[in-house]
Amino acid sequence: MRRITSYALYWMLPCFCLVMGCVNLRSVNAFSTEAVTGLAKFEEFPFGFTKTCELSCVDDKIRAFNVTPSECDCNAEVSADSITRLIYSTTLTYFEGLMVLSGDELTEIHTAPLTELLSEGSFGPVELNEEQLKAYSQISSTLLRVTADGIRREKLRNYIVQSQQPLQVLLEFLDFNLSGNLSKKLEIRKLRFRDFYFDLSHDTSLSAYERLKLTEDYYQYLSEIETLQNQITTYSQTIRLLIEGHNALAGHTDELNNPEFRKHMFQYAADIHTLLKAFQSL
Amino acid sequence: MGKLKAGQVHEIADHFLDIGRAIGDYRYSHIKDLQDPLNNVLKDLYWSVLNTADSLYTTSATLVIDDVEKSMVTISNISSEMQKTYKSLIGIQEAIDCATGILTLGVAILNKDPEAIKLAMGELIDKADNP
Repeated sequence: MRRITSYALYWMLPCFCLVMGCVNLRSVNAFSTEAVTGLAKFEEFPFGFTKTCELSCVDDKIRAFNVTPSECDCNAEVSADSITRLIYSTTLTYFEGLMVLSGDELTEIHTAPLTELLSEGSFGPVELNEEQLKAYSQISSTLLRVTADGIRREKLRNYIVQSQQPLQVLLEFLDFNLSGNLSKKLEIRKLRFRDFYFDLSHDTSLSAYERLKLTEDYYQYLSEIETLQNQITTYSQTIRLLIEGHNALAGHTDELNNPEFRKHMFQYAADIHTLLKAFQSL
Repeated sequence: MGKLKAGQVHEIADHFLDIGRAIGDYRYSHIKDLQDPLNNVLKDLYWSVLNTADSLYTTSATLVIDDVEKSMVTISNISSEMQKTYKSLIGIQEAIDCATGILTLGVAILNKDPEAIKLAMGELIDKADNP
């Protein structure tokens, strides 16, 4: 009778799991994992507001043939960098939380050591059958996993829904500061170079070779700035995908087991991954 | 008059950038006709307008804080909650591990095995120190 009870419970649990809805969060995990890697590309930018200010300050000195040591006032740019980094860190921490909470290993609860101990131990008048213990161990592991999964699913759903609007604001402004303000500052740097080299290339006191070399230098600088701008553009596309992906997630938290929706989320993860490769190739 | 917002300052900066670009284009295409004084005036104006646009983009980037402050607090709170949930879920496994440790110690005491008691105590202390 006891054996029948253990076997019955052993087979009943997967059904229980189905009824309770052990949500497969792999698509959410894939999306948030790529989101973390994509956002972290911020760390690889070789420049920021402060750096562009310092470079522009040096440009001005060169243009004025000024070799007197003087400080560049870049305090406003330091603030702009701090604010941008703060927004970046806040969004990154959120996606890291989402990644960890949706990970498989979090609700994998192991009771095997406890079972082994109980089957090996001597507990006076209480006799424990090894086979029965193993069955109960599997049952308790599954029950714990279902319970933990339930807690996690409910919490995750709430977090995703609550964070949707503020997260969108943060991502929009992170993009605004980078592809809006920082990239435009780089555009100004390009225009400064153009002016500087325009006059030099029309200076008839210079030889044709010198003017040729100057023109070559100009295109070299231009190409360097454009590479930086392309990095920002690629990063901006990643942010757009994060906004879209999280929006889709927040609107479908009841459909996390829906194969179509999961496919959709996996596609976002794949698209972010493609952009990461594009960023690396720049 | 209300304080300008980041987006509005950005728009103004865009206008300065367009004006600067137009001044430059004019100077480059008329360089042969421009006398030195006028050329210098246009050149200085060009740099001055671009410098203003440059500063305005920085100002716009710093003004963003007014727009994101509330959202930043909300997301930070949610992230803290996530951390707590993570710890409580991890805690289930830790509780089982701890129960296993206590039981091991119990069995060792019942068996009157000093070596096993010592080992089980050590493991329990390790778990307490490194939860």
